[in-house]
Amino acid sequence: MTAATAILVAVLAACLALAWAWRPRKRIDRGAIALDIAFALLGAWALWFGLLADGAAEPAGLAHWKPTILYWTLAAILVAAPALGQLHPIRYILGTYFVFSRGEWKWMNLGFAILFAILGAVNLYIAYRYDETSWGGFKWGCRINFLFLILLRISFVWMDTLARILERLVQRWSGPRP
Amino acid sequence: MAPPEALPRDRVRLLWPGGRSESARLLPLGKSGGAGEVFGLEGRPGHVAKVYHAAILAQHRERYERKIRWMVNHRPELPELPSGPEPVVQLAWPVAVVQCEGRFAGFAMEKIDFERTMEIDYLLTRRQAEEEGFAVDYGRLLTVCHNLATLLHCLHRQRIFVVDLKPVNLKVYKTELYVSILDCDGFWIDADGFVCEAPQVTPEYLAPEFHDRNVADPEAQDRFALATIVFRLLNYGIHPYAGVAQPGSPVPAELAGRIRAGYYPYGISPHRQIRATPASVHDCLPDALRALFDRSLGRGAQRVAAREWAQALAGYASRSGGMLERCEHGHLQFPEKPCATCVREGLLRGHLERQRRLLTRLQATPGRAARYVRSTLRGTHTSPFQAALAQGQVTAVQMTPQTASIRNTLSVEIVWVLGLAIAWWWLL
Repeated sequence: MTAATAILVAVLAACLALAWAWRPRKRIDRGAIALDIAFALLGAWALWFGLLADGAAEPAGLAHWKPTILYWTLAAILVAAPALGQLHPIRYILGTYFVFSRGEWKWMNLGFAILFAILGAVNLYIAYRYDETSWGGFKWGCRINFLFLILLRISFVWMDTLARILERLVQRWSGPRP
Repeated sequence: MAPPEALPRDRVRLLWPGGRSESARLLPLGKSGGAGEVFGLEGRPGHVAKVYHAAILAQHRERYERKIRWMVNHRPELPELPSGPEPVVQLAWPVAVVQCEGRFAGFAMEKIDFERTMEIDYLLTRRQAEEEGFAVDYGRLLTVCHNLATLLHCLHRQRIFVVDLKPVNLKVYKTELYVSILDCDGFWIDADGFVCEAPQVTPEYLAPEFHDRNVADPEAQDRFALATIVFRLLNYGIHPYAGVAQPGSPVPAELAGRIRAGYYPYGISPHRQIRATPASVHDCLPDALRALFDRSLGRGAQRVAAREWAQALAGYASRSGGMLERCEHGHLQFPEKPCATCVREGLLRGHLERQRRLLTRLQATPGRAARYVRSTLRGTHTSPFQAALAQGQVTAVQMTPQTASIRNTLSVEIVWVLGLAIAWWWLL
């Protein structure tokens, strides 16, 4: 293991430990847990073949299926969680800072599930009907979608949280009010 | 029919949706209103029961029973809230029918924790809010307004209307800033083929077209009352139809008469016959909100829907919206407008100074002082500064409207970033 990898692993472990220590002490909806498990499995897969498999290659042809697997996994979770009596997982993907009624979340959840299902199918269509460059462009588009989600959270959660942290610090530094 | 003194009995039967029933014992709480009395329920700390007065039931039993049974089986969808350590009850909606000796007697509802809430009225006279440990600022007020508009929008979409919407029927959670609506059994319902009108109204919050006649359009009524409440919350409790009549103008003295005749003095274009109360800070509100007030409270325009209010207030209610900034004294203010809190404090200081000068004059030259008093009284119908004086100063500490703690939020976001990074890496 190189020094860079060791540092990366240490940072990741610290982040996970922090997330665990500061986790909300309340019942977490199973839809959110399912999303976390899905990401953890994908991470384990990537970790295994990227770093640990020691030369072992991913199954042939899997590369073209990866965006589809990701999209269809998300679609399946979005559809399954409400059917099993859980909240709509789209709330966790977009963020609970939006105030929508249950009915609106329901339709958004369904809409995103359909969108992800279609995107998964489109990926296969492009992968097997067009050349590698076109498919590469589509895959890049999938990754840009994740950036969009990050942007959403930066705008609505991170800036707000940063303001709260700064305010807390200012209060602490300025000392007790007379 | 049971004799009037037969209610309330100590033991009642609760009929829950789905047919389940159970016996329960009523615990007196000493809270009685015009229509009924509210009791605790033994073994059910999260619920209370409203048992109608026998005289009310004797007249309206069938109508009340029909409505409550429908409400118990048709709970409206409400804005989803981030889950916190303690539940937030947004509506005192009936959840079970209460029967006494086999006859309809009232209903059970979720209990609104009075320790965690206060009447929204307290935000109008800010000193009371501060006595409750609630530091009022524009960020918090706008969040409360936004939450109220969102809740109302959800109800309207399901064809449920409050009609008698007024501050005394509204509670606000002191920490979370969510709003609860009481007296849900008085709502107007026109949903799923069930129609039940609401006879109760309050003249100070009643739309002009419904004075001296029945409410014909409950949504229009709710829109008017919502605008009135939002206006009062943002303008130090001043009612949008309170003002100073120009000498010689036929402005009625009471608010109901002014509403009926449309004497709204806070419009972007001033009214000819009535001017704004001197203590008002409406000029410090953003033009976009003032336009909404004009549409809702002025003459002729289409009133603003609760959804539109919710959308307009959302940016102000969100800390990250960046639509509020701090003045040099640390108050939250609207950009490109004078700081409402500073203006208000200046008005109060000015009033105290005038009061001090008046006392000096009274002592030094009683004759001149009497003329001063007469001229003052001629210029004003009421003493607008009395209420202002009672409200005291405002603290500048901004409290967060977020319910989740910073640590919880960071924990969730760390997991999210790791998840997205993993997905990104997996797609390589």
